[in-house]
Amino acid sequence: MHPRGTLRRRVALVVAALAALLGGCSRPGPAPGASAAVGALPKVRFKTDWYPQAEHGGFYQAVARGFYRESGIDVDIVPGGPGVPVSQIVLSGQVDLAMGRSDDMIAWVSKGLPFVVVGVYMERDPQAILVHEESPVRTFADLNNRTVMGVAGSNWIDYIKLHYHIDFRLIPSNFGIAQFMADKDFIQQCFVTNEPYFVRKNGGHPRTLLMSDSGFNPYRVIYTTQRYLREHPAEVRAFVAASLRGWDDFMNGDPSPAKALISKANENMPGEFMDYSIKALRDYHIVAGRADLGERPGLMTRRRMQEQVDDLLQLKLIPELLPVDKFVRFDFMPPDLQSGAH
Amino acid sequence: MTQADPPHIVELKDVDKRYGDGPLILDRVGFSAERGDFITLIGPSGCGKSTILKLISGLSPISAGRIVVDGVGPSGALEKLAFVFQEPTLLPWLTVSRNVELPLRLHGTGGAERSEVARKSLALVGLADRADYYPRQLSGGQKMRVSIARALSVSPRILLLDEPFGALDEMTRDHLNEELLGIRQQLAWTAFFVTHSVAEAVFLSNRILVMSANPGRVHTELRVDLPYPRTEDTRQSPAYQRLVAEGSKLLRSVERLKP
Amino acid sequence: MSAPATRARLPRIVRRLLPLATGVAVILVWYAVCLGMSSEQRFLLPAPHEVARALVDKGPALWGAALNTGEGALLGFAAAVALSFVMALLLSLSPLVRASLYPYLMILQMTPIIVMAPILILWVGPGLKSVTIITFLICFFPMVVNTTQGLISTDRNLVDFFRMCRASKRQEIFLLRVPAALPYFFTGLRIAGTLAPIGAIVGDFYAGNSAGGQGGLGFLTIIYSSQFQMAALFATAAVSCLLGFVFVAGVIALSWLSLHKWHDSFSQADL
Repeated sequence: MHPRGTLRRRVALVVAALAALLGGCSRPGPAPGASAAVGALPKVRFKTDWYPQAEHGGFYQAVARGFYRESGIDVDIVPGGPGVPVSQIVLSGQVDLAMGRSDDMIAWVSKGLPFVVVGVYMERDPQAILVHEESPVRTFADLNNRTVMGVAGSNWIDYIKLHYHIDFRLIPSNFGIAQFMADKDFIQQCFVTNEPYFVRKNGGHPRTLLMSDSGFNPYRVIYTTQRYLREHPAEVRAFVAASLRGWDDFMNGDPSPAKALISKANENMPGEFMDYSIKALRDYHIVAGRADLGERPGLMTRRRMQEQVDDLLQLKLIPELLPVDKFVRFDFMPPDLQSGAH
Repeated sequence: MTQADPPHIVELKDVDKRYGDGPLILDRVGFSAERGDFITLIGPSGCGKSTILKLISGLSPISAGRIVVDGVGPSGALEKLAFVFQEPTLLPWLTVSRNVELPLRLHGTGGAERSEVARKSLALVGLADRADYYPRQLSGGQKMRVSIARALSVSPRILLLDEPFGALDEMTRDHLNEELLGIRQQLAWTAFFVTHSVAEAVFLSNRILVMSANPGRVHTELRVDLPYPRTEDTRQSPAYQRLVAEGSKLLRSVERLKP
Repeated sequence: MSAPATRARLPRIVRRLLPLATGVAVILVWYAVCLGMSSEQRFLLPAPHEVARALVDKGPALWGAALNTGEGALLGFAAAVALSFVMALLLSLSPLVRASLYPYLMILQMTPIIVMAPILILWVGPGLKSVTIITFLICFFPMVVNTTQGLISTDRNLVDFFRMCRASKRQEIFLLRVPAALPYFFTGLRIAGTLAPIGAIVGDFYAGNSAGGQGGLGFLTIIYSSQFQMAALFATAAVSCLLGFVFVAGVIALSWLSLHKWHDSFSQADL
């Protein structure tokens, strides 16, 4: 019966634990240092947070152009989707690494979850607030007493409310733009690389407020479990290095190999849309960051991580101060970035 | 100006009955009943005896012929008729007394009057103390008595009973037969009774119509001259037993008839 | 002493304690599983006492959410009961009416809620209204089917009897068919009573909101999941389960009140 089918999604969040438990009852991942067979590269499974899209481009580029193989690993990209509990899946051992956000990492490690950040692939978060061109909302403070559609439980919600001393009503995100198109006053969370394209395609005039401009400025990170890091440091190092190489090639070289791979994996991905996303990544300095602020692709700094910890502490989202070294390993970045880590 | 009551309270003349284009169920059935008669219809399965009751009650229309009930057609006489079905057909969600009140309630009679009538009816069948019980708390025989009480609540002139005691054991059946005759002494109604039991037919009626089947016809009439009131002693009398034997013989001969 | 006497039924106290003993066994197995897990997997399955603690810590939030969800469920359920009864009366009138209306009811039933919910929210907006409508849609059909079945399944003999008493159509419907249909009605009610809380939680998943604590259990699920609060998630599941029990208990109570005197579903031995 259909309600149970829908309910399975919600229950999946709970039962994912049990299912993952049963599925992952055997030791997670391959034995330390072992290869599947003589001559075969060690397999590394990497989970993304959505269907294949340009926002994952660097990873697909690295696969398509063989960068991972050159670094000595065979990478499987496992796409996520709406409602997919990525972090729980990492914890269960079904995948080895995944993409996430640094603010989530801080919150989870504060709870005692054994995650660790090993690299960043985007200097800035592409999250934004989407409004219509004519909307009176021009700054984050203007969100006061309004209704916003967003992903419930996200840290930015509490951050914005506290930082600007405002309050607003939150309705659950359905990851679409139907309501936005129907209502000129509608406000919702979006990716600056994504929703505006579709709004324009449907004849709308969107305007965005980039989240990182509000002071809430997380990294988009690559993370894994402490156990996997302990048992497969070589694979982790190789993965981070080759991924950053892939991102560099994707943003500055010819992105077609990645685009081809993404199209194959996701039939609903028009080339024109991917081009739009890539341009947005560039225009908003998402991947490379702002050079004038000392940001560089793949660079994570202690200072910025500390700022985020302080923010979350102030928001009371973490109970006490979390030392940066408890959730970040700076020594897995490529050597040329490590000096800039302070 | 009141019309004189017609001598025959029920009259059937050349009545045919078929359902749609189906076969003839009843073929030129004719008989008349006088006021106070207790007529039992008996015969093999399919002879249409229950159908005749339905025709008299107006639940089913005739296909040909004429049927007069108390001077009018069956539908006009509905208020003077009461039907007791094979099943007690009590409403399970009503108490015994509310079940008995039901026909009057459907008719529009006021509450106080209904209760009084129900009380009296239940007393007649000896169930006054069960007035607040629910049907499921009663035995089969008790339910049938409630059904009879309900039929009597409308003070019918004509009582139609379709194998009412068929599902009960012999002892209960005999008791109920005696009760029925006892009530008949107090209220004068004309009865049409259908049964498979010759003994029951002889005990209850003054006239037995033996019917043949395919199509249904009235084959023979057996007059039962035993005097009323009849009691359990009547069953011991030689006259009774002779009549039962005769009736059984007739029934067997009718069953052997070629269609 | 004679052997048969000692093989009498288990003493009452044992029978009462048996479910409790099973519950304790389940909790012990739960702990055993937790102990047997790796340090990573331990985070995916919180231990019973952690769930208990989450129930206490998040108590106010869970209670408020349960009330919200319960409100939506109750309203949607009540609307479904009332409207399904009217629809059933309509459908019971003739086979022609049934043939013309049933296909559309089926379409309503077959369209998955996942597809209907976003469209609904577009028209009606988020909040209690949408949750109520979603709950209504989930409960409506089973109730219509059961009540209609009850109304058209009246004992032929009783119908004949009413006809013999020259009852009007209105009398036949309200004094015969409707009471006779009550057992079927309550079957439908029991089904709808189980579905209503589920429907409200699903509705809340799509249409809940945080204004003035209006979020329900579905909304909390999203929050706890995205914040990796597994114990709180389990606690939410437990509260949802409880809400379901409350609904079903309510329906069974109603059903007992109406039927216990006269219907066989409540056997004499239990009275």
